[in-house]
Amino acid sequence: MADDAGKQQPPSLDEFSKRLAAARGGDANAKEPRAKDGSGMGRAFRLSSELLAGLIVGVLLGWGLDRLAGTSPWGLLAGIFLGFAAGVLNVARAMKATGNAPPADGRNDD
Amino acid sequence: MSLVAILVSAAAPAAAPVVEGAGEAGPGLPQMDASTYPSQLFWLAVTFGFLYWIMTSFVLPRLGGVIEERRDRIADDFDQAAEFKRKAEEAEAAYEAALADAKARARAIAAETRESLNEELAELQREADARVAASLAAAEARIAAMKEDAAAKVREAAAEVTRAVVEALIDETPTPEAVDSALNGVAKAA
Amino acid sequence: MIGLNAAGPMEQFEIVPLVPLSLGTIDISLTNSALWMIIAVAVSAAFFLAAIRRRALVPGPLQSTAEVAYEFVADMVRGAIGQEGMKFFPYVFTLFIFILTANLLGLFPTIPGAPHGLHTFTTTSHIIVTFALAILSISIVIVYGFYKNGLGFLKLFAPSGVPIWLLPLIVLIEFVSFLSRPLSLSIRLFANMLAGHVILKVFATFIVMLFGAGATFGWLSIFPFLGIVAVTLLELLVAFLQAYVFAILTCIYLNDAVHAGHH
Repeated sequence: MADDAGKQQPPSLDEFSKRLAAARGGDANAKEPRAKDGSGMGRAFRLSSELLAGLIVGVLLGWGLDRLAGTSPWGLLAGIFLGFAAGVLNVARAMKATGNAPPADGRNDD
Repeated sequence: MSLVAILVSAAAPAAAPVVEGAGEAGPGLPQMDASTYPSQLFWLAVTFGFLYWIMTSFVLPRLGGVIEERRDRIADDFDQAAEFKRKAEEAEAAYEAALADAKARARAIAAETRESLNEELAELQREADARVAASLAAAEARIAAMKEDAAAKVREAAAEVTRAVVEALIDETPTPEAVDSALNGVAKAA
Repeated sequence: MIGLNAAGPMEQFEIVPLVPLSLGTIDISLTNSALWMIIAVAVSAAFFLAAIRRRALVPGPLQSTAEVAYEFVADMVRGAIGQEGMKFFPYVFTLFIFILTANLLGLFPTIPGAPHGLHTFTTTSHIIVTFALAILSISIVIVYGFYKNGLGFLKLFAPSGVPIWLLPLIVLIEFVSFLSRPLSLSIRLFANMLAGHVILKVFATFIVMLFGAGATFGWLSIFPFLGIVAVTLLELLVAFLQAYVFAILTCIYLNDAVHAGHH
Protein backbone atom coordinates (compact mmCIF):
# COMPACT_ATOMS: atom_id res chain seq x y z
CA MET A 1 0.00 0.00 0.00
CA ALA A 2 2.83 2.38 0.81
CA ASP A 3 4.49 1.10 -2.35
CA ASP A 4 1.40 2.01 -4.34
CA ALA A 5 1.60 5.66 -3.36
CA GLY A 6 5.26 5.67 -4.24
CA LYS A 7 4.44 4.50 -7.74
CA GLN A 8 1.62 6.99 -8.19
CA GLN A 9 3.83 9.99 -7.45
CA PRO A 10 6.52 10.06 -10.17
CA PRO A 11 4.25 10.24 -13.27
CA SER A 12 2.30 13.20 -11.87
CA LEU A 13 5.54 14.98 -11.11
CA ASP A 14 6.78 14.30 -14.63
CA GLU A 15 3.58 15.63 -16.06
CA PHE A 16 3.93 18.72 -13.93
CA SER A 17 7.42 19.43 -15.21
CA LYS A 18 6.21 18.90 -18.77
CA ARG A 19 3.40 21.38 -18.25
CA LEU A 20 5.75 23.84 -16.60
CA ALA A 21 8.17 23.65 -19.51
CA ALA A 22 5.33 24.08 -21.99
CA ALA A 23 3.98 27.14 -20.17
CA ARG A 24 7.43 28.68 -20.04
CA GLY A 25 8.18 27.91 -23.66
CA GLY A 26 4.89 29.40 -24.79
CA ASP A 27 5.80 32.65 -23.14
CA ALA A 28 9.33 32.68 -24.48
CA ASN A 29 8.50 32.47 -28.18
CA ALA A 30 5.54 34.80 -28.05
CA LYS A 31 7.58 37.62 -29.55
CA GLU A 32 7.63 37.29 -33.30
CA PRO A 33 7.38 40.61 -35.13
CA ARG A 34 5.25 40.25 -38.20
CA ALA A 35 4.57 42.74 -40.93
CA LYS A 36 1.72 42.14 -43.27
CA ASP A 37 0.14 44.36 -45.82
CA GLY A 38 -3.29 42.88 -46.04
CA SER A 39 -5.22 42.39 -49.22
CA GLY A 40 -4.11 42.77 -52.77
CA MET A 41 -6.26 45.89 -53.08
CA GLY A 42 -4.53 47.47 -50.11
CA ARG A 43 -1.21 46.60 -51.68
CA ALA A 44 -2.19 48.12 -54.99
CA PHE A 45 -3.43 51.24 -53.23
CA ARG A 46 -0.17 51.54 -51.39
CA LEU A 47 1.99 51.10 -54.48
CA SER A 48 -0.02 53.53 -56.61
CA SER A 49 0.07 56.15 -53.88
CA GLU A 50 3.85 55.73 -53.73
CA LEU A 51 4.18 56.37 -57.45
CA LEU A 52 1.71 59.24 -57.39
CA ALA A 53 3.40 60.91 -54.42
CA GLY A 54 6.80 60.82 -56.10
CA LEU A 55 5.34 62.27 -59.28
CA ILE A 56 3.49 65.06 -57.43
CA VAL A 57 6.57 66.10 -55.50
CA GLY A 58 8.66 66.09 -58.66
CA VAL A 59 6.11 68.17 -60.56
CA LEU A 60 5.74 70.62 -57.67
CA LEU A 61 9.52 71.04 -57.37
CA GLY A 62 9.91 71.56 -61.11
CA TRP A 63 7.00 73.93 -61.32
CA GLY A 64 8.31 75.93 -58.33
CA LEU A 65 11.75 76.13 -59.90
CA ASP A 66 10.19 77.40 -63.13
CA ARG A 67 8.25 80.04 -61.20
CA LEU A 68 11.33 81.20 -59.30
CA ALA A 69 13.96 81.01 -62.03
CA GLY A 70 11.82 81.42 -65.11
CA THR A 71 13.17 78.28 -66.74
CA SER A 72 9.73 77.63 -68.00
CA PRO A 73 9.28 74.19 -69.49
CA TRP A 74 12.59 72.65 -68.43
CA GLY A 75 12.11 72.66 -64.70
CA LEU A 76 8.76 70.97 -65.03
CA LEU A 77 10.16 68.39 -67.46
CA ALA A 78 13.07 67.62 -65.18
CA GLY A 79 10.65 67.52 -62.25
CA ILE A 80 8.41 65.03 -64.00
CA PHE A 81 11.40 62.86 -64.84
CA LEU A 82 12.80 63.03 -61.30
CA GLY A 83 9.37 62.53 -59.79
CA PHE A 84 8.73 59.50 -61.92
CA ALA A 85 12.11 58.04 -61.03
CA ALA A 86 11.48 58.71 -57.34
CA GLY A 87 8.02 57.17 -57.63
CA VAL A 88 9.45 54.03 -59.19
CA LEU A 89 12.07 53.94 -56.46
CA ASN A 90 9.32 54.26 -53.85
CA VAL A 91 7.36 51.44 -55.42
CA ALA A 92 10.45 49.23 -55.62
CA ARG A 93 11.19 49.93 -51.97
CA ALA A 94 7.62 49.32 -50.91
CA MET A 95 7.54 46.00 -52.74
CA LYS A 96 10.84 45.01 -51.23
CA ALA A 97 9.63 46.03 -47.78
CA THR A 98 6.39 44.07 -48.01
CA GLY A 99 8.18 41.13 -49.59
CA ASN A 100 11.06 41.01 -47.14
CA ALA A 101 9.73 42.51 -43.96
CA PRO A 102 9.44 39.24 -42.04
CA PRO A 103 12.65 37.46 -43.02
CA ALA A 104 11.50 34.02 -41.91
CA ASP A 105 7.94 33.77 -43.19
CA GLY A 106 7.79 36.44 -45.86
CA ARG A 107 6.45 33.84 -48.28
CA ASN A 108 3.17 33.73 -46.42
CA ASP A 109 2.23 37.17 -47.65
CA ASP A 110 2.47 36.46 -51.36
CA MET B 1 -38.71 55.05 -65.19
CA SER B 2 -36.46 52.38 -66.50
CA LEU B 3 -33.83 50.61 -64.49
CA VAL B 4 -31.12 52.09 -66.65
CA ALA B 5 -32.33 55.58 -65.89
CA ILE B 6 -32.28 54.83 -62.19
CA LEU B 7 -28.73 53.51 -62.33
CA VAL B 8 -27.56 56.49 -64.35
CA SER B 9 -29.12 59.03 -62.06
CA ALA B 10 -27.76 57.29 -58.99
CA ALA B 11 -24.28 57.13 -60.42
CA ALA B 12 -24.40 60.81 -61.36
CA PRO B 13 -24.74 62.38 -57.93
CA ALA B 14 -24.77 65.87 -59.34
CA ALA B 15 -28.28 65.12 -60.43
CA ALA B 16 -29.33 64.42 -56.85
CA PRO B 17 -30.94 67.40 -55.18
CA VAL B 18 -28.52 69.48 -53.14
CA VAL B 19 -30.23 70.02 -49.84
CA GLU B 20 -28.43 72.95 -48.30
CA GLY B 21 -25.13 74.75 -47.93
CA ALA B 22 -25.04 75.19 -51.67
CA GLY B 23 -23.91 78.79 -51.28
CA GLU B 24 -20.12 79.15 -51.20
CA ALA B 25 -19.06 75.54 -51.70
CA GLY B 26 -18.53 75.29 -55.40
CA PRO B 27 -18.13 72.05 -57.28
CA GLY B 28 -15.09 69.91 -56.60
CA LEU B 29 -13.78 68.20 -53.53
CA PRO B 30 -14.49 69.76 -50.14
CA GLN B 31 -11.01 68.45 -49.30
CA MET B 32 -9.46 70.99 -51.66
CA ASP B 33 -11.10 73.99 -50.03
CA ALA B 34 -8.04 75.62 -48.49
CA SER B 35 -10.12 78.03 -46.42
CA THR B 36 -10.96 75.19 -44.04
CA TYR B 37 -7.32 74.21 -43.54
CA PRO B 38 -6.36 76.53 -40.66
CA SER B 39 -9.30 75.42 -38.57
CA GLN B 40 -8.66 71.74 -39.28
CA LEU B 41 -4.97 72.08 -38.50
CA PHE B 42 -5.66 74.00 -35.31
CA TRP B 43 -8.13 71.49 -33.98
CA LEU B 44 -5.99 68.57 -35.08
CA ALA B 45 -3.08 70.03 -33.09
CA VAL B 46 -5.29 70.59 -30.05
CA THR B 47 -6.97 67.18 -30.08
CA PHE B 48 -3.92 65.17 -31.07
CA GLY B 49 -1.82 67.00 -28.50
CA PHE B 50 -4.41 66.34 -25.83
CA LEU B 51 -4.56 62.64 -26.69
CA TYR B 52 -0.75 62.48 -26.64
CA TRP B 53 -0.75 64.09 -23.21
CA ILE B 54 -3.36 61.66 -21.87
CA MET B 55 -1.44 58.72 -23.27
CA THR B 56 2.00 59.74 -22.03
CA SER B 57 0.98 60.94 -18.59
CA PHE B 58 -1.71 58.42 -17.62
CA VAL B 59 -2.42 55.55 -19.93
CA LEU B 60 0.92 54.25 -21.18
CA PRO B 61 2.84 54.32 -17.88
CA ARG B 62 0.10 52.41 -16.09
CA LEU B 63 -0.56 50.03 -18.94
CA GLY B 64 3.14 49.37 -19.41
CA GLY B 65 3.54 49.07 -15.66
CA VAL B 66 0.86 46.49 -15.26
CA ILE B 67 2.12 44.47 -18.21
CA GLU B 68 5.64 44.61 -16.82
CA GLU B 69 4.36 43.64 -13.40
CA ARG B 70 2.44 40.72 -14.80
CA ARG B 71 5.47 39.55 -16.75
CA ASP B 72 7.52 39.64 -13.54
CA ARG B 73 4.76 37.96 -11.64
CA ILE B 74 4.43 35.18 -14.17
CA ALA B 75 8.19 34.70 -14.15
CA ASP B 76 8.03 34.58 -10.36
CA ASP B 77 5.22 32.08 -10.51
CA PHE B 78 7.22 29.92 -12.85
CA ASP B 79 10.20 30.11 -10.52
CA GLN B 80 7.96 29.24 -7.63
CA ALA B 81 6.49 26.33 -9.52
CA ALA B 82 9.98 25.09 -10.30
CA GLU B 83 10.84 25.48 -6.62
CA PHE B 84 7.76 23.47 -5.64
CA LYS B 85 8.73 20.83 -8.14
CA ARG B 86 12.22 20.66 -6.68
CA LYS B 87 10.76 20.34 -3.19
CA ALA B 88 8.39 17.64 -4.34
CA GLU B 89 11.30 15.74 -5.81
CA GLU B 90 13.23 16.15 -2.58
CA ALA B 91 10.28 14.94 -0.56
CA GLU B 92 9.93 11.98 -2.85
CA ALA B 93 13.60 11.11 -2.43
CA ALA B 94 13.30 11.49 1.35
CA TYR B 95 10.25 9.29 1.31
CA GLU B 96 12.02 6.61 -0.68
CA ALA B 97 14.99 6.76 1.67
CA ALA B 98 12.77 6.52 4.75
CA LEU B 99 10.89 3.65 3.19
CA ALA B 100 14.09 1.73 2.44
CA ASP B 101 15.35 2.48 5.94
CA ALA B 102 12.16 1.25 7.52
CA LYS B 103 12.21 -1.89 5.43
CA ALA B 104 15.78 -2.63 6.47
CA ARG B 105 14.93 -2.02 10.10
CA ALA B 106 11.88 -4.24 9.90
CA ARG B 107 14.00 -6.97 8.39
CA ALA B 108 16.56 -6.62 11.19
CA ILE B 109 13.90 -6.70 13.87
CA ALA B 110 12.32 -9.77 12.33
CA ALA B 111 15.65 -11.57 12.19
CA GLU B 112 16.42 -10.63 15.78
CA THR B 113 13.03 -11.77 16.98
CA ARG B 114 13.33 -15.00 15.13
CA GLU B 115 16.68 -15.65 16.70
CA SER B 116 15.54 -14.96 20.24
CA LEU B 117 12.45 -17.06 19.72
CA ASN B 118 14.58 -19.91 18.47
CA GLU B 119 16.74 -19.63 21.52
CA GLU B 120 13.77 -19.67 23.82
CA LEU B 121 12.34 -22.60 21.98
CA ALA B 122 15.57 -24.53 22.28
CA GLU B 123 15.67 -23.76 26.00
CA LEU B 124 12.14 -24.98 26.47
CA GLN B 125 12.91 -28.04 24.43
CA ARG B 126 15.94 -28.75 26.53
CA GLU B 127 13.93 -28.33 29.69
CA ALA B 128 11.21 -30.56 28.37
CA ASP B 129 13.77 -33.14 27.32
CA ALA B 130 15.26 -33.09 30.78
CA ARG B 131 11.89 -33.40 32.35
CA VAL B 132 10.95 -36.24 30.06
CA ALA B 133 14.28 -37.99 30.72
CA ALA B 134 13.80 -37.62 34.49
CA SER B 135 10.29 -38.99 34.47
CA LEU B 136 11.46 -41.72 32.09
CA ALA B 137 14.19 -42.72 34.53
CA ALA B 138 11.76 -42.66 37.42
CA ALA B 139 9.34 -44.78 35.49
CA GLU B 140 12.08 -47.22 34.54
CA ALA B 141 13.16 -47.44 38.17
CA ARG B 142 9.60 -48.07 39.22
CA ILE B 143 9.19 -50.65 36.49
CA ALA B 144 12.41 -52.34 37.58
CA ALA B 145 11.27 -52.31 41.16
CA MET B 146 7.85 -53.65 40.18
CA LYS B 147 9.59 -56.28 38.04
CA GLU B 148 11.77 -57.35 40.90
CA ASP B 149 8.80 -57.32 43.19
CA ALA B 150 6.81 -59.30 40.70
CA ALA B 151 9.65 -61.80 40.27
CA ALA B 152 9.93 -62.19 44.02
CA LYS B 153 6.21 -62.76 44.27
CA VAL B 154 6.31 -65.30 41.43
CA ARG B 155 9.14 -67.16 43.22
CA GLU B 156 7.21 -67.08 46.46
CA ALA B 157 4.16 -68.35 44.68
CA ALA B 158 6.29 -71.03 43.00
CA ALA B 159 7.74 -71.99 46.32
CA GLU B 160 4.26 -72.24 47.80
CA VAL B 161 3.09 -74.33 44.90
CA THR B 162 6.18 -76.50 45.13
CA ARG B 163 5.69 -76.98 48.80
CA ALA B 164 2.02 -77.86 48.29
CA VAL B 165 2.86 -80.29 45.45
CA VAL B 166 5.58 -81.98 47.48
CA GLU B 167 3.35 -82.22 50.53
CA ALA B 168 0.64 -83.74 48.43
CA LEU B 169 3.01 -86.19 46.75
CA ILE B 170 5.16 -87.37 49.61
CA ASP B 171 3.33 -86.00 52.52
CA GLU B 172 6.40 -84.44 53.85
CA THR B 173 7.02 -80.81 54.28
CA PRO B 174 10.19 -79.89 52.45
CA THR B 175 12.55 -77.52 54.03
CA PRO B 176 12.59 -74.08 52.61
CA GLU B 177 16.26 -74.54 51.68
CA ALA B 178 15.40 -77.57 49.54
CA VAL B 179 12.60 -75.74 47.77
CA ASP B 180 14.87 -72.80 47.24
CA SER B 181 17.66 -74.88 45.66
CA ALA B 182 15.15 -76.73 43.57
CA LEU B 183 13.66 -73.56 42.29
CA ASN B 184 17.14 -72.18 41.61
CA GLY B 185 17.91 -75.29 39.64
CA VAL B 186 14.76 -74.86 37.54
CA ALA B 187 15.43 -71.21 37.03
CA LYS B 188 18.98 -72.10 35.85
CA ALA B 189 17.68 -74.74 33.54
CA ALA B 190 15.14 -72.41 32.07
CA MET C 1 -22.90 58.17 -43.59
CA ILE C 2 -25.52 55.70 -44.64
CA GLY C 3 -28.11 58.32 -44.05
CA LEU C 4 -30.86 57.57 -46.51
CA ASN C 5 -31.07 61.08 -47.89
CA ALA C 6 -30.26 61.43 -51.51
CA ALA C 7 -27.45 63.95 -51.14
CA GLY C 8 -24.42 63.58 -53.38
CA PRO C 9 -21.62 61.28 -52.30
CA MET C 10 -19.28 64.24 -51.74
CA GLU C 11 -21.52 66.16 -49.39
CA GLN C 12 -20.54 63.98 -46.45
CA PHE C 13 -17.04 65.47 -46.66
CA GLU C 14 -18.22 69.03 -46.49
CA ILE C 15 -16.83 71.12 -43.65
CA VAL C 16 -19.54 73.00 -41.79
CA PRO C 17 -18.65 75.64 -39.17
CA LEU C 18 -20.58 75.09 -35.95
CA VAL C 19 -19.11 77.71 -33.63
CA PRO C 20 -17.30 80.61 -35.35
CA LEU C 21 -13.92 81.32 -33.77
CA SER C 22 -10.89 83.21 -34.92
CA LEU C 23 -7.32 83.69 -33.81
CA GLY C 24 -6.31 87.10 -35.09
CA THR C 25 -7.20 86.93 -38.73
CA ILE C 26 -7.08 83.15 -38.85
CA ASP C 27 -10.35 81.32 -38.91
CA ILE C 28 -10.27 78.52 -36.37
CA SER C 29 -13.98 77.93 -36.12
CA LEU C 30 -15.18 74.81 -34.41
CA THR C 31 -16.36 72.83 -37.40
CA ASN C 32 -17.94 69.42 -37.75
CA SER C 33 -14.44 68.14 -38.54
CA ALA C 34 -13.16 69.58 -35.25
CA LEU C 35 -16.16 68.13 -33.44
CA TRP C 36 -15.39 64.64 -34.74
CA MET C 37 -11.74 65.02 -33.80
CA ILE C 38 -12.88 65.91 -30.30
CA ILE C 39 -15.24 62.93 -30.27
CA ALA C 40 -12.46 60.63 -31.46
CA VAL C 41 -10.09 61.85 -28.75
CA ALA C 42 -12.81 61.76 -26.10
CA VAL C 43 -13.80 58.21 -27.03
CA SER C 44 -10.27 56.86 -27.14
CA ALA C 45 -9.17 58.73 -24.00
CA ALA C 46 -12.28 57.56 -22.13
CA PHE C 47 -11.71 54.02 -23.29
CA PHE C 48 -8.09 53.89 -22.19
CA LEU C 49 -8.67 55.74 -18.93
CA ALA C 50 -11.48 53.32 -18.08
CA ALA C 51 -9.27 50.42 -19.08
CA ILE C 52 -6.49 51.36 -16.66
CA ARG C 53 -8.79 52.34 -13.81
CA ARG C 54 -8.53 49.01 -12.01
CA ARG C 55 -4.98 48.10 -13.00
CA ALA C 56 -5.65 44.44 -12.37
CA LEU C 57 -3.03 41.74 -12.78
CA VAL C 58 -5.75 39.54 -14.20
CA PRO C 59 -7.33 42.03 -16.58
CA GLY C 60 -10.98 42.44 -17.41
CA PRO C 61 -12.15 42.67 -21.01
CA LEU C 62 -11.56 46.42 -21.24
CA GLN C 63 -8.06 46.24 -19.85
CA SER C 64 -7.28 43.21 -22.02
CA THR C 65 -8.24 45.12 -25.13
CA ALA C 66 -6.10 48.07 -24.09
CA GLU C 67 -3.21 45.72 -23.39
CA VAL C 68 -3.60 44.03 -26.75
CA ALA C 69 -3.37 47.45 -28.40
CA TYR C 70 -0.32 48.29 -26.29
CA GLU C 71 1.48 45.04 -27.12
CA PHE C 72 0.50 45.29 -30.77
CA VAL C 73 2.03 48.74 -31.19
CA ALA C 74 4.99 47.89 -28.97
CA ASP C 75 5.77 44.83 -31.10
CA MET C 76 5.37 46.94 -34.23
CA VAL C 77 7.84 49.56 -32.99
CA ARG C 78 10.30 46.97 -31.67
CA GLY C 79 10.06 44.94 -34.86
CA ALA C 80 10.65 47.90 -37.19
CA ILE C 81 13.18 49.94 -35.20
CA GLY C 82 14.43 47.76 -32.38
CA GLN C 83 14.60 48.47 -28.66
CA GLU C 84 16.00 51.95 -29.32
CA GLY C 85 12.79 52.80 -31.12
CA MET C 86 10.76 52.45 -27.95
CA LYS C 87 11.37 56.13 -27.21
CA PHE C 88 9.00 56.83 -30.09
CA PHE C 89 6.45 54.37 -28.78
CA PRO C 90 4.13 56.96 -27.14
CA TYR C 91 3.99 58.94 -30.37
CA VAL C 92 3.34 55.91 -32.59
CA PHE C 93 0.75 54.62 -30.15
CA THR C 94 -1.11 57.94 -30.06
CA LEU C 95 -0.93 58.17 -33.83
CA PHE C 96 -2.28 54.67 -34.31
CA ILE C 97 -5.11 55.09 -31.82
CA PHE C 98 -6.07 58.52 -33.16
CA ILE C 99 -6.25 57.35 -36.77
CA LEU C 100 -7.94 54.07 -35.89
CA THR C 101 -10.61 55.78 -33.79
CA ALA C 102 -11.24 58.46 -36.41
CA ASN C 103 -11.51 55.81 -39.15
CA LEU C 104 -13.88 53.64 -37.15
CA LEU C 105 -16.08 56.53 -36.02
CA GLY C 106 -16.58 57.45 -39.65
CA LEU C 107 -18.26 54.07 -40.22
CA PHE C 108 -21.13 54.78 -37.83
CA PRO C 109 -24.27 55.61 -39.73
CA THR C 110 -25.55 59.13 -39.41
CA ILE C 111 -28.51 59.37 -37.10
CA PRO C 112 -31.48 59.95 -39.41
CA GLY C 113 -32.74 63.49 -39.22
CA ALA C 114 -29.54 64.90 -37.71
CA PRO C 115 -29.25 68.63 -38.33
CA HIS C 116 -26.99 69.84 -41.09
CA GLY C 117 -23.37 69.52 -40.18
CA LEU C 118 -23.92 66.87 -37.55
CA HIS C 119 -23.76 63.93 -39.93
CA THR C 120 -21.10 61.31 -39.33
CA PHE C 121 -17.82 62.74 -40.50
CA THR C 122 -14.48 61.03 -41.07
CA THR C 123 -11.71 63.43 -40.17
CA THR C 124 -9.15 61.20 -41.83
CA SER C 125 -10.93 61.58 -45.17
CA HIS C 126 -9.48 65.08 -45.43
CA ILE C 127 -6.08 65.30 -47.06
CA ILE C 128 -4.99 68.22 -44.90
CA VAL C 129 -5.44 66.17 -41.73
CA THR C 130 -3.61 63.11 -43.00
CA PHE C 131 -0.96 65.35 -44.55
CA ALA C 132 -0.43 67.17 -41.25
CA LEU C 133 -0.01 63.86 -39.42
CA ALA C 134 2.41 62.65 -42.10
CA ILE C 135 4.40 65.90 -41.91
CA LEU C 136 4.52 65.50 -38.12
CA SER C 137 5.96 61.99 -38.52
CA ILE C 138 8.50 63.10 -41.12
CA SER C 139 9.48 66.12 -39.01
CA ILE C 140 10.26 63.81 -36.13
CA VAL C 141 12.31 61.66 -38.50
CA ILE C 142 14.27 64.66 -39.78
CA VAL C 143 14.83 66.30 -36.39
CA TYR C 144 15.84 63.08 -34.69
CA GLY C 145 17.91 62.02 -37.71
CA PHE C 146 20.04 65.15 -37.57
CA TYR C 147 20.14 65.13 -33.78
CA LYS C 148 21.33 61.53 -33.68
CA ASN C 149 23.59 61.38 -36.74
CA GLY C 150 24.49 65.03 -37.42
CA LEU C 151 25.23 65.57 -41.08
CA GLY C 152 25.70 61.82 -41.42
CA PHE C 153 21.94 61.70 -41.75
CA LEU C 154 22.40 63.05 -45.27
CA LYS C 155 24.01 59.74 -46.20
CA LEU C 156 20.42 58.60 -46.47
CA PHE C 157 20.34 60.33 -49.85
CA ALA C 158 23.55 58.76 -51.10
CA PRO C 159 23.32 54.99 -51.18
CA SER C 160 26.67 53.24 -51.15
CA GLY C 161 27.95 51.54 -54.28
CA VAL C 162 26.75 54.17 -56.75
CA PRO C 163 29.29 55.37 -59.36
CA ILE C 164 30.41 58.94 -58.68
CA TRP C 165 29.15 60.36 -61.99
CA LEU C 166 25.68 59.05 -61.26
CA LEU C 167 25.65 60.29 -57.68
CA PRO C 168 24.13 63.78 -58.26
CA LEU C 169 21.20 62.27 -60.14
CA ILE C 170 20.67 59.58 -57.52
CA VAL C 171 20.83 62.14 -54.73
CA LEU C 172 18.19 64.23 -56.51
CA ILE C 173 15.94 61.22 -57.00
CA GLU C 174 16.42 60.11 -53.40
CA PHE C 175 15.64 63.63 -52.26
CA VAL C 176 12.40 63.73 -54.22
CA SER C 177 11.61 60.24 -52.96
CA PHE C 178 12.16 61.37 -49.38
CA LEU C 179 9.94 64.42 -49.87
CA SER C 180 7.26 62.21 -51.35
CA ARG C 181 7.05 60.09 -48.24
CA PRO C 182 4.67 62.29 -46.27
CA LEU C 183 2.64 62.76 -49.41
CA SER C 184 2.28 59.05 -50.11
CA LEU C 185 1.48 58.44 -46.45
CA SER C 186 -1.27 61.04 -46.46
CA ILE C 187 -2.62 60.23 -49.91
CA ARG C 188 -2.98 56.57 -49.04
CA LEU C 189 -4.95 57.13 -45.86
CA PHE C 190 -7.06 59.92 -47.31
CA ALA C 191 -7.80 58.07 -50.55
CA ASN C 192 -8.78 54.88 -48.74
CA MET C 193 -11.19 56.71 -46.48
CA LEU C 194 -12.56 58.80 -49.34
CA ALA C 195 -13.09 55.84 -51.63
CA GLY C 196 -14.76 53.70 -48.99
CA HIS C 197 -17.21 56.39 -48.03
CA VAL C 198 -17.99 57.35 -51.60
CA ILE C 199 -18.78 53.71 -52.41
CA LEU C 200 -21.01 53.43 -49.36
CA LYS C 201 -22.79 56.62 -50.30
CA VAL C 202 -23.36 55.47 -53.86
CA PHE C 203 -24.86 52.20 -52.62
CA ALA C 204 -27.11 54.13 -50.26
CA THR C 205 -28.20 56.32 -53.13
CA PHE C 206 -29.04 53.21 -55.17
CA ILE C 207 -31.30 52.04 -52.36
CA VAL C 208 -33.14 55.33 -52.25
CA MET C 209 -33.51 55.42 -56.00
CA LEU C 210 -34.83 51.87 -56.19
CA PHE C 211 -37.27 52.48 -53.37
CA GLY C 212 -38.42 55.61 -55.15
CA ALA C 213 -39.09 53.51 -58.25
CA GLY C 214 -41.94 51.79 -56.45
CA ALA C 215 -43.09 48.19 -56.54
CA THR C 216 -41.55 47.31 -59.88
CA PHE C 217 -37.96 47.75 -58.79
CA GLY C 218 -38.27 48.26 -55.04
CA TRP C 219 -37.33 44.69 -54.23
CA LEU C 220 -34.09 45.21 -56.13
CA SER C 221 -32.88 47.49 -53.33
CA ILE C 222 -31.87 44.35 -51.46
CA PHE C 223 -28.77 44.18 -53.70
CA PRO C 224 -27.31 47.58 -52.83
CA PHE C 225 -28.25 46.89 -49.24
CA LEU C 226 -26.19 43.69 -49.26
CA GLY C 227 -23.53 45.74 -50.98
CA ILE C 228 -23.54 48.22 -48.12
CA VAL C 229 -23.17 45.43 -45.58
CA ALA C 230 -20.28 43.90 -47.49
CA VAL C 231 -18.54 47.24 -48.05
CA THR C 232 -19.01 48.23 -44.42
CA LEU C 233 -17.34 45.01 -43.32
CA LEU C 234 -14.54 45.65 -45.78
CA GLU C 235 -14.26 49.23 -44.54
CA LEU C 236 -13.85 47.99 -40.95
CA LEU C 237 -10.84 46.06 -42.15
CA VAL C 238 -9.57 49.02 -44.16
CA ALA C 239 -10.01 51.34 -41.16
CA PHE C 240 -7.75 49.12 -39.11
CA LEU C 241 -5.33 48.37 -41.92
CA GLN C 242 -4.81 52.02 -42.82
CA ALA C 243 -4.14 53.00 -39.22
CA TYR C 244 -1.69 50.12 -39.06
CA VAL C 245 0.01 51.06 -42.34
CA PHE C 246 0.35 54.69 -41.26
CA ALA C 247 1.90 53.64 -37.97
CA ILE C 248 4.22 50.99 -39.40
CA LEU C 249 5.45 53.30 -42.17
CA THR C 250 6.14 55.96 -39.54
CA CYS C 251 8.17 53.30 -37.74
CA ILE C 252 10.03 52.34 -40.93
CA TYR C 253 10.88 55.99 -41.61
CA LEU C 254 11.92 56.49 -38.00
CA ASN C 255 14.17 53.49 -38.42
CA ASP C 256 16.06 55.48 -41.10
CA ALA C 257 16.64 58.23 -38.56
CA VAL C 258 17.81 55.82 -35.88
CA HIS C 259 20.01 53.71 -38.13
CA ALA C 260 21.04 56.24 -40.79
CA GLY C 261 24.60 54.88 -40.92
CA HIS C 262 23.55 51.45 -42.12
CA HIS C 263 22.57 52.40 -45.63
